[in-house]
Parts: sequence; C-alpha cells; structure tokens
Amino acid sequence: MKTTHSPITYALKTLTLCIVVIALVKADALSRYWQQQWRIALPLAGNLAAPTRFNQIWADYLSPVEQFLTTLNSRLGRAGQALSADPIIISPAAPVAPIITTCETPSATSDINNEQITPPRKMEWPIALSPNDKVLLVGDSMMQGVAPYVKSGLRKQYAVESVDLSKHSTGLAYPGFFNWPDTIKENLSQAHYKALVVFLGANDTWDIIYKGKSIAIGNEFWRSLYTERVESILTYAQENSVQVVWLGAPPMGQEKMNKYVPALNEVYQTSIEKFAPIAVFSPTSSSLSSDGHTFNKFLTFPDQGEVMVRTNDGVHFTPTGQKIIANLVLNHFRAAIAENTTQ
Amino acid sequence: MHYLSPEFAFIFLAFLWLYWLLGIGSGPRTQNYVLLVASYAFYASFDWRFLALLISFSFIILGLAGLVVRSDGSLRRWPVTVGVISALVNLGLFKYYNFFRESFSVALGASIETNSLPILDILLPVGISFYTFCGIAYLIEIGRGSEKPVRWLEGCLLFAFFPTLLAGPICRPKDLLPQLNNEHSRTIMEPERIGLLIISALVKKVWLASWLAEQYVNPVFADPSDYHAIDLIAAAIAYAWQIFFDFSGYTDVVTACALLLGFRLPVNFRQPYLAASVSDFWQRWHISLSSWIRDYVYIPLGGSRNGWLRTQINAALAMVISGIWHGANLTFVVWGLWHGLGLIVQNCWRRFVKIPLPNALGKIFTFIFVCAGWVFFRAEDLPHALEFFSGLAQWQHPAQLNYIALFFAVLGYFYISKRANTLLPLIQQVLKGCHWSILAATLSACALIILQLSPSGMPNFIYFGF
Repeated sequence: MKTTHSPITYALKTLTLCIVVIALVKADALSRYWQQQWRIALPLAGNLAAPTRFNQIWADYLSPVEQFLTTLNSRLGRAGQALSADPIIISPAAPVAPIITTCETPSATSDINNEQITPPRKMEWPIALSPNDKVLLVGDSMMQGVAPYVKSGLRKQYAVESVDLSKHSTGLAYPGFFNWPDTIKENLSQAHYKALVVFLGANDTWDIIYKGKSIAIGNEFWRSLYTERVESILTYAQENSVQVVWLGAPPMGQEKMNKYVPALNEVYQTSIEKFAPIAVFSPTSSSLSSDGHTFNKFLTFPDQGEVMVRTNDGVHFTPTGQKIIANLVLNHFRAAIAENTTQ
Repeated sequence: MHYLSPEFAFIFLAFLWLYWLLGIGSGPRTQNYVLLVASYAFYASFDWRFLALLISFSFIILGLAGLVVRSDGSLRRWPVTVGVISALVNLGLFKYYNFFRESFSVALGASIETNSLPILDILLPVGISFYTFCGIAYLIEIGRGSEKPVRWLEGCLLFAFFPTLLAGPICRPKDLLPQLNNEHSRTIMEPERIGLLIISALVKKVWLASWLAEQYVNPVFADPSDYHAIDLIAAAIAYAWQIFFDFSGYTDVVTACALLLGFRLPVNFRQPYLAASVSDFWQRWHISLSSWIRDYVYIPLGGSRNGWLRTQINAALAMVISGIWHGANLTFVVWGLWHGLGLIVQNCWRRFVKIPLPNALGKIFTFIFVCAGWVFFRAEDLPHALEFFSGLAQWQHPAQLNYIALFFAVLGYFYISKRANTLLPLIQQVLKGCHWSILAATLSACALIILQLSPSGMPNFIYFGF
C-alpha cells in the first residue's frame, strides 16, 4: 500500500508547493489577471503579497534577466516596434483646403512644457493625409481584427504607414493590467503621428476596481474615473496635435455586456465633444445593427444575402464585420496631395 | 478556463487531492464517477449548452453501440451506420452549416432573390471535432468486433475525459478504455516526467508560441503586402514553430494532467520538423488525428489495395478530409489538398525517378513544403494566402524582421530537436532521485523564469478553435 501511494504523495506535495510558491511570488500579476478576467479583486492577494515581498525580491533578482530579454526581444523581434522608434521627421504639413470644418488646436504643449513647442496645426475633417504621415491604431481584440484592413486601406489609398498597437484583453477599466493612456502618451511622444484611431470597450463593460473596491459601472464615480482615462488620451493627442477618431463600442451579443455599451459610448461621446476640434466620435452601431442599437449576428447585403458579421462569442467580428468597421475608419480620411493637385 | 490558466491550476490541485483521497478509500470506480462529474463541470464552465450536447451525443453513441452485438455474439451493421452518420451530421451542422450556407448564397446570389437556406444562429461547441472522432472510432471498433461495448460510466468518460476533451489527443477505445476499466488501484506515474512536461508546456506555449506570434507572425500575416519577401519567409517559418509549440505545448500539459490522474495518453508528436518526407511528417505530426484518418478514412477508401493510381487518389482524399476537419474555411481544404499533392509528388518520385534523396535534403525540402502549407492554414481566407505568396516577389520594402537571428534559431532548433529524445530522459533521470521539495523548488524557479520572460496576457490555444 505504501509503495502504491508514495508516488501520489510525492507528486501532490511537489505540485502543491510549486503552485503556492508561484502564487506568492506572482501575487501582483495574479491579482491583476484576476481583476481583468473575473472583474473582482482576488481575495487575499494583497495580504499574501505585501508581507512576504517575494514578488519584489524575485523581480530584483530577475531584473538583469528582464533587461537581457528586452534587449533580445528588440534585436530578435520584429521592427514593427521600431517603426515608432524611427527617427522623428517632422515635415511641414502640406497646405490643404478644409473639407468640413477647420479649426486650430490650442498650443497646449507649449503651455505645459516650454521646452517642446509644437506649432498649432490646422485640423480638418476628413483627416487630410500626405504620404509622410503616420497613423496610430490602438484598441483591444476588436481592433486587432479591424486594424489589418485599416492599415492596408491607408497604405493603398494614401500611401500612409500606420502602427497597430492593439492588444487583446485590454481596455480602460483595468489600467493595472494594461495602461492605454500611458502607452499612447509614450508612443505619441516618440514619433510624429497625424492621427490616432481608438477602438475600445469590449473589456470595459464591467465594474472598475479602484483602491480594492468595486465601483459599479454606470454610477457617477465610475463615470468620472472612466471619463478621466478617456480624456487623458485625448489630452495627449491634443498636446501633440494628433487628430483622433474614436470608434464607439458596438452592440454586444452578451446581454450582460450589451446593457452597459450605451454607458461607454456616452462617456466617449461626451469627452470627445470637449475635444471637438481634434477628435471625432464615430458610432459603430449604425453600421452593425439593423436598427442602430440591437445586436445583429447577421446582416443582409444585396449581393450576398444574409452574412455573418459577428463571431459566436457575440463580441468580435467576422472578416465581413471587420471590413465594415475598417471602411468606417477609412471614411474619416482623405488624400491631401491629390486634392491640392486638383485645386 | 484553460489548462494553463491560474484558475485551472488552483481547481485542478484541489481536485487532485480529493480524487486521490477517494481513490485510496474507494477505488478506481469511484474515481471514475468523480472524473465524469469533474469533466462535465469543466465543460459546462464554457457553456452549459455544450455539455447538454455532449451528454446527448454520448447517450446516442453508447446506446447504438449497445445494439451492435446480438445476444448470440453476431454483429449488426445498422447501429454503426446510423451512429456514424448521426455523429457526422451533428458535427456538420455545428461546424460547417453557416459556411456552406454563405457559400451557396454567394454562388447563387445572382440567380435567386432570397437565400435558399435559413440562418441558424448556432455556437460551435469547443472540442466537438475531437469527441466526434472519438465516438466514431468507438462505434466502428465495436462494429468490427475488436472492442466490446462498455458500461455507461466508462463510455461517457471516454468522450468527456477532461484532459483530452477540448483538443485531444483523439483517444481510441484501446487507448483509454483499458485504463478506465482497470479494477486495480491507480497511481501517479513518472512524477519527474510530469514536472518536465509542465515546464515544457510553459516554455512552448506561454513563452515561445506567444512570443513568436506577437513578434513575427501576427504583424506579418495581418498585412503581408507591407513586408519584404524575406520577412514573409521568416514569418512562415515562425508560424511553423508557433503552431508546433502551441499544439505540442497543449499536448504536454494535458499529458501531464492525465498522468497526474493515473492515465497515459497516446503520443501526438515526434519531432515533426525532422521528417524527411511528407508521409514521414504525417507519422510525426498530430499522430492521433493522422492515424485516425488512416484507419477510418484512407483504409476504408481502399488504401493501397486497388492499384497505384487509386492509392494516390485515396491519399489525396484523406488529406483533404483531414483539412476539412480543421474548420469551415477553404484555406483548410487547400491546406489538405496541398499535403495530398505533396504525397502524390513524393510517390511519383519514388515510383518513376527512383533516386533516393539524401536524408538532409529530404528534411530541408519537407520543412519548406510544410511551411508553405502553413501559410494556407494561417491565412484568414484564400485571397490573404495568395497575397502572402505574391508578396514573395516584393523586394522594395526594407526588411523589418531579424531574419539572421531567425536563421541561427532554426539551426539551434534542429540541433536540439535531434537530441531531445536522449536529453529529456537524461534530465528525468537526474530529477528522479531528488527530494520532493528540491523538485518543487527547481520546477517553481523554472516556471517563474518562463513567466517572467513571456508576453503578458493569457494565451489561447490554436487547436481549441477546431
């Protein structure tokens, strides 16, 4: 009997100790993951992490390894990251005629930081693109599907390069897991972008965990927290004279999520109205819903009949749906040079 | 809840203690009950409707299997036929209906005003392709007389066994049923190997597959026309690695889970990129599927029994069916056809040219051939795949990927692959004499380093989509 059970206890004790050690050392990461995945604070996570400080000790010991890997990543990996790290070449904007509205951004950068003076630029809608311009695309997994079509469209129609930073499972509700405002700020400061396209919301229809407490989505405090995050992105864009196309969250196939989509869109729209000269809110629901607000998995097209535009999870898009959103984005751009030539 | 998620780790650990305490007290049959309940709970965590479908499927297949053997021991054919057709219709409805509906609509769009087929808003249950093939294998083996119908509990567990439920390996009755029916008390086999398998899974899936996807594969496949030809080649090679690391990493972790429960799973991979021919590749890649296709598609089609030409047609057909099994997309059909044509070319070479290729050359050709096939497999649709291939003529963009590093990584990979079969048992032998706490500390340190090096986020498994 003993010989039969000894491998069992050996394996179970080993596995238990492994999981306990990893959970203790990675308590912070585990807590962030738990928040993002289950929208609740992980019980005991803070208590476990704080007194032991395993995670900090571990991080200290591993920092040389981390640095080594970061260097290795940048040398072995793609140069997509390098695109934003290219030498910043600010070419004077070609004089173009305004199409819809013309306005000038306040030279916010010069007010905030006297060392970096950005001359005010004319803002036009649709955004006039010249071949030297660059467009930054950010968002969650919805954007990951849409971005390739937008990139391709921008390159083919306007010979404009774009950088896609979209990352799955991200949003504005859980900055501990992934911080979009900081990421955007960093990227906008490193390279000169003409426009920023934002498509978020799939991971934000949940309560926000703030200082260990759950803030119910839709209430006033949630609204102020979420608005602050949206506006911080818009502020960075304004400081860098970057025009913003902010896509609204689409109707969702899951009732729990769909219930709060209007709350997200309301914050986006209200915030963008404050930054109207540089930003435009572009609702997606009208393109993805037969009545403008109901979730539709299938849409009817004259040449194809009823085609699936949303995937089974009720959140993401089929290639047809992705192309619809991409076209919506591309409609916010126009060619600067071509119009100059014709005028 | 995925096999490499923290939730799974916590729940599985608690379950293991319960499972083995019950096993010591009550024996394997009680463990089977607990396993079935756990498997159903695990599957229901994705969607309770998936579980309802799995239970219905199990009851129909097991019920029909019970009708195959007459009281005098002779065999009826009709329950097998009905069962196989029902299983395929079920799979086709959930997996392929909307694809065919849209394809028909596009094809007939100009000539009809309304769609000929109605819309069905159906979800694709995760793992349906795997348990369907498992069920078909069970029925056919009963029909052939090589297996006997089992009790409901073990039969249900054969289809629902949670380590293999989502993405295989596809268990044949001979793989799992003798272990489920064994009345002797179970034990955990090779604890050191379990540790190595878990570390291997973390390295392959959480680190390498995710890193390759993020750095090399996703950006290039998303927009191939933006990259230099050499970047496209690098991305195709990187995807070959990504899918291998992804799927074999998955296989490692579920093999470890099964070992922790006292079960051995069939081998699914044998260093596939060391294959010296296309047929050799299929004896090394996703072995549980390729052997299933061989035994239940290729051989019933006639195999190599009806002449050389018919053999080639059978091989191509089997590969196309293998492709279709992966999903409702023309890219998978073309991928299957690509491998079918590869087999035909290989057989033509052997029959007509009769000059054996040097082993190294065969390996290089096979690797290039397989990488080219993966482009179809990875592409969103056929136009994207063709755009990728046409990009191989693009030399105007500056190369963006570090293809020199990738070239050396390829060499390093092949060097390690060739030695993996001797290296891993050696490490296992070293770990065997360790005290459990030392083994735990070693494994924890390895896991923490890998987690530190991996991209953030919870990676999804490619084969969960099939």
